[in-house]
Amino acid sequence: MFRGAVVFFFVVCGSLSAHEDPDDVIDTLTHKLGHAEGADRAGLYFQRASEYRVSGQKEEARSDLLKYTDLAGSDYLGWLELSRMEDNEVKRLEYLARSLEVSDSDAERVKIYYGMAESYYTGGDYIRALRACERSIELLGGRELTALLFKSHLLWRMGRLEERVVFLSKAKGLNGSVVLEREWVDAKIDVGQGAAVMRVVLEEMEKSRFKSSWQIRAALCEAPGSGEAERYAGLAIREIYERLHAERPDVMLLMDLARAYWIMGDDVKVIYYMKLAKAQRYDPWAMAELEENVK
Amino acid sequence: MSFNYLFIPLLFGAFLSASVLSNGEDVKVTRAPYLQLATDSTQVIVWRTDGEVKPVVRIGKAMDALDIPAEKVLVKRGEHLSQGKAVTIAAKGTIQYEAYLSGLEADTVYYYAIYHGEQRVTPSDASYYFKTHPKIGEKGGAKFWIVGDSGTGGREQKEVHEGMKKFVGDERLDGFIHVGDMAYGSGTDSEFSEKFFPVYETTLRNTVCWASMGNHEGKSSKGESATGPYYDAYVLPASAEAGGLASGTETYYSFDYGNIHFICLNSHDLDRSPSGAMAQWLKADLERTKADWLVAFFHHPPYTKGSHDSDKEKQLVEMRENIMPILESGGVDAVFTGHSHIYERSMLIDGAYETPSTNEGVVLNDGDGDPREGGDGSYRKSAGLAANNGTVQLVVGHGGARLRRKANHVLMSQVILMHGSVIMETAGNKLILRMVSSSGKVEDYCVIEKGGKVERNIVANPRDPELKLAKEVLAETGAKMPKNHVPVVEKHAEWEYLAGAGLHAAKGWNDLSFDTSTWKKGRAGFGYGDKDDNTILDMRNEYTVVYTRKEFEIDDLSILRGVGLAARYDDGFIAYINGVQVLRALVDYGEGANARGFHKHEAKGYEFFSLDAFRKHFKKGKNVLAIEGHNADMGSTDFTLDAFLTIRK
Repeated sequence: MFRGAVVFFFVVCGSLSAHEDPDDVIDTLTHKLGHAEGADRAGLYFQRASEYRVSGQKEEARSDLLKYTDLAGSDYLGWLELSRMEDNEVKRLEYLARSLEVSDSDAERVKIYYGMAESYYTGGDYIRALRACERSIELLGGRELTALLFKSHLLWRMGRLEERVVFLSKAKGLNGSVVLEREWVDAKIDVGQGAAVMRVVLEEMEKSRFKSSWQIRAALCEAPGSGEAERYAGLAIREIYERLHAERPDVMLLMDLARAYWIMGDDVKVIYYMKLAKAQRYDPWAMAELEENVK
Repeated sequence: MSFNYLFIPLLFGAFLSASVLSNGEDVKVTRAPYLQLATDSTQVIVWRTDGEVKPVVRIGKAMDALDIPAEKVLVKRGEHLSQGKAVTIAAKGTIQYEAYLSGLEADTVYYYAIYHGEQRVTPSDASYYFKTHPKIGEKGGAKFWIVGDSGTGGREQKEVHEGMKKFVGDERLDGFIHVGDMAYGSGTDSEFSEKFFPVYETTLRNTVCWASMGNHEGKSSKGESATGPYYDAYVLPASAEAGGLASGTETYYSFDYGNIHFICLNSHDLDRSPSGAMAQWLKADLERTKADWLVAFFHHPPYTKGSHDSDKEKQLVEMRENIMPILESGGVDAVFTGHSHIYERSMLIDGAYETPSTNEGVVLNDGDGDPREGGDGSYRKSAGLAANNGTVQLVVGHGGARLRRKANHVLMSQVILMHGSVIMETAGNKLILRMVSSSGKVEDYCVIEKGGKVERNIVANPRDPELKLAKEVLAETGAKMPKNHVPVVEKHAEWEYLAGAGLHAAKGWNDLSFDTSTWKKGRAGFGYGDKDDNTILDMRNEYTVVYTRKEFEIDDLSILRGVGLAARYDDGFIAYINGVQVLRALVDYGEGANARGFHKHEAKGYEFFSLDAFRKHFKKGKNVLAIEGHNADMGSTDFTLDAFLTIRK
């Protein structure tokens, strides 16, 4: 999902030299832990957890973070990082609540509320997810792209499509990323205002080297099942096949291909390409809309 | 650029300046002027002081005629560096001035001078200039300097800079790319001021540095909010000011230089998934660009076996599995990264996303890419930016930090353990890559040449990487002992050795034919202190080097696949097979009595050094493994040299 978008932020790594292999750093930290006392131990556990995480040793990272929170329970970061290691959503929310309790600045709370939004979303509680996401956006002054995109997705998920258009229209003014511009175009198409954005779509298509994503949008602006919609989708499919690596396809192109085939009404191919995307661990939330469409 | 400014533009005759508060007589410049964000009509110049001044920038096309009309110079002033709860903040009183120059002519050299009031701060010197970018799409050629993992403030970093200057000579650089880890250990404001800006001052004053955040900068700066000392130091194009599409953040961005499109990504602390915001922006940016060349840079390498292993570490794996497919389906030509303290340059590859990396079915050209006599010829690609037509990966983490190699990555053409940097040039349909050492010598040369339509052709059995061992500069430590190895020379075997005050081995001591009848014999390991040695030496306060040899037989050379040396050592050693130097651990240069550049190292356990690249130096029958062990300090409380040769089971 949007998880992992926030930093695993190291604040206590000053004692280690220019970057070394995580395995070596873990050895060094383990050695230091053998001699350290009190607050030093807490910092070392935190550092070692971060190295474990980098080298994919999740259980070891979790164990060190638990020790860290035992020794330094007043640091919001320990609880926050622990929540990221937790698959159980109830426990995850528990850790986030502890983190919120001891946090002392808005900068810290931004990440905590965002974590809560993700957790509520996974649990299917979209109302709470939206509330937490909005809090996170508010605290950051609405500049952080990931949170803005998450709110857009939540509004879509809750069927509040008109509200999504209005929100994205404002969000574009807060963060100048082209990703928001595209999300806004998609939102307009979703509420049946494709004709209103067709000019933008055609201009973008004209300026682009690879046109398929705009051809798909153009197809969606046209009446479903119309000849024009199928023509645009057909052009997109042709271009995507030219770019697609036969054995190791780019997952984003696979998803575009699935979308184009959905416009063509070929659900078998839609399901096939979505399966390939899933096999490459594409985030389920990013497939949700297409999945709903083929149901 | 993440802080607030006071805007007080005032007209002074032919120039525009800002904020009249002091004539600057007692105010010091704490960061010398350096160039930032450039386009074909704009240029940013940044500098810092420890107090308020009346800042003025004067520019002109000749050094002695700084006479550009007023409306083209704007000066901004920033007072609050590293806002929010940053780990480090700029020293009290620091003011950063950013001059935003606009309305300039494309592809034109301008000279500049900084004034504090009427007082000229920069000398009348031809090195204070900038050259605006050519118009987007122009095919005039370019020369960029690319460096990584350099911010130690040490000798090696300075020598790499000097090596580049020696190589470039009187020619101009068109840009400087830093792939991260530019201010060790935590990228704090003071570390930037000590280990980055002063070291590169003479280049930064006339060459824009386009930066990518490394993990060390990430200890005090945050990608998600683009705040901290790294973001204070740089003015980067969040709004597509220099081409490409707006990312809305300085933490990843793109820019154009003529017909080259550059993409900078944050591989450190943002979502690296293909559905993440950065990947979505990347896809959009790649769809739009119509450049002839596409170059990406970020910190964490998708392919490396230097001081890091791209098969094991999260960021490296994710950049390979998630981001490389997007870049390659967008037609990327070259990818520059750092993090791993080594120079590694790949063959022409495509679609190598698996973990662990394999060379099966992903190598399009396994030659060295060198079109010169004796080389295998350029890497050929189709004209323009064709999807999946081949990429050259360059790990340039050899800019100053301590070097290290775990193994040779299977996709590499060249692996060089030597400090240096890369000069990337475009000329017509060629992109030329040169690895330049600290002495200014070219150690690797390869060319990507575009034209017509080149079909993808997978190489069936790609060749092994070539490892270059430079005698002058080379120091590495080993990897963890693999579990599936067995000894060829037994652990704690009996060796011949020469040790004593004033004793040094004669020439040829490491050859098989050398007469060792006067040498002693003893069981490995050799040393003193720590109670971990079998043969105790009287080295302390007497001498620092011991020479050891072990003869051994090999009946069947085919068993040598996976051959390596296991060693416990304190502090360093140099190893030879049949007289050929094959390893150098923490001894930077020289041999025997002339060895120099030692590093402290404790013998904790056996470290493993692959010797696969040196199989050709083993012979059927009798061989000799010779090792000279070095103690960094004669008065040290301990020394250990304990080695044995292994092969994969």
